[in-house]
Amino acid sequence: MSFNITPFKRDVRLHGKLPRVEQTSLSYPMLLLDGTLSRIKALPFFSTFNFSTYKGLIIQPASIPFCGVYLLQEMMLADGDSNTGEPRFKTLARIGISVIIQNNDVVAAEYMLDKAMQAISVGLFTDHTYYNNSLYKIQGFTSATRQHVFGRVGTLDNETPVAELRFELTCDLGIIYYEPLVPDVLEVIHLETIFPIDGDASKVQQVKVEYDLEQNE
Amino acid sequence: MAINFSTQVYAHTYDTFARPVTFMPKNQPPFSGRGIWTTQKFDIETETAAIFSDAQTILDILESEFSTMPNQGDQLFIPSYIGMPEVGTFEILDLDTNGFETTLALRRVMVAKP
Repeated sequence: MSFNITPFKRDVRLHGKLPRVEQTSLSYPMLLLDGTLSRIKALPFFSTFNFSTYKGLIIQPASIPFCGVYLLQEMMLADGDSNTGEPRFKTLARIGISVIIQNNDVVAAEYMLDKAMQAISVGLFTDHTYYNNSLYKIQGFTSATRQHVFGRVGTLDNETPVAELRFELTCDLGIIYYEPLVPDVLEVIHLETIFPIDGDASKVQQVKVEYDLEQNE
Repeated sequence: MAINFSTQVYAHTYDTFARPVTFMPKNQPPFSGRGIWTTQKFDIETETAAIFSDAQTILDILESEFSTMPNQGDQLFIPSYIGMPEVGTFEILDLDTNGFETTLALRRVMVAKP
């Protein structure tokens, strides 16, 4: 199970004659999320799993085995002096992966979670296209955490024998620049000759022309 | 005046609400008994606070009806009864007593996935 996100295009124009600005259809963290999801889906270990990237989904027992891949957080840190130059951010994206299985044998369940972790870590980190591709670049993996959770923390007496792998991965997406839009407001060029210089211009056919510059696209 | 809760209160309650249960202790032959089965919604917060929709299921048993009490890890089966459908097989996760009645926290026995 997965939810496809329709890319959006935002049309930004300050003036009718200014160039149209088409922003990236998806932000880099969302492209990273999609790239992570598609690679995990392709791993043989996850062939029987149901998937989602939607945090609001209420996961049903029938959805097990389940794998959720989520964009947990994007962190944007000023690159250099924040009050100098154009806006630019060192951008980190935190991806959360939740693998939910069921097994009454908690020891066997923990080993299965470990297999899932091995499948994810080996599958992602040995795939160089995961961090070096045409859509986004991962400069580095700055940190990761892993947990095994059995049922509801604090009570553990839920009916379904679930076990969950929680893997969080922080990816450094590098410096993302937001270069200023410098509008070109030149609309019309009016050109008129007066020739000859210091002579009788009325006896010479003059050139008079206007260029109305199409600047919209 | 003292009240024997087991015989004067709980026994009548069990006569009304309890249903047959087969208890299956580890390494012991199964035996029949009865208990009051209850289940209610119980959500589990997963990664990113996404919710796993689960249930919390218990079986109350009257201690005076048991010569040997069930233990953690034992299984039990709740069959269909007077038109009520079969509930299934469970493993006992936890036991809590109030002195007369023990509440068994149950986990459903399910096929491992994957």
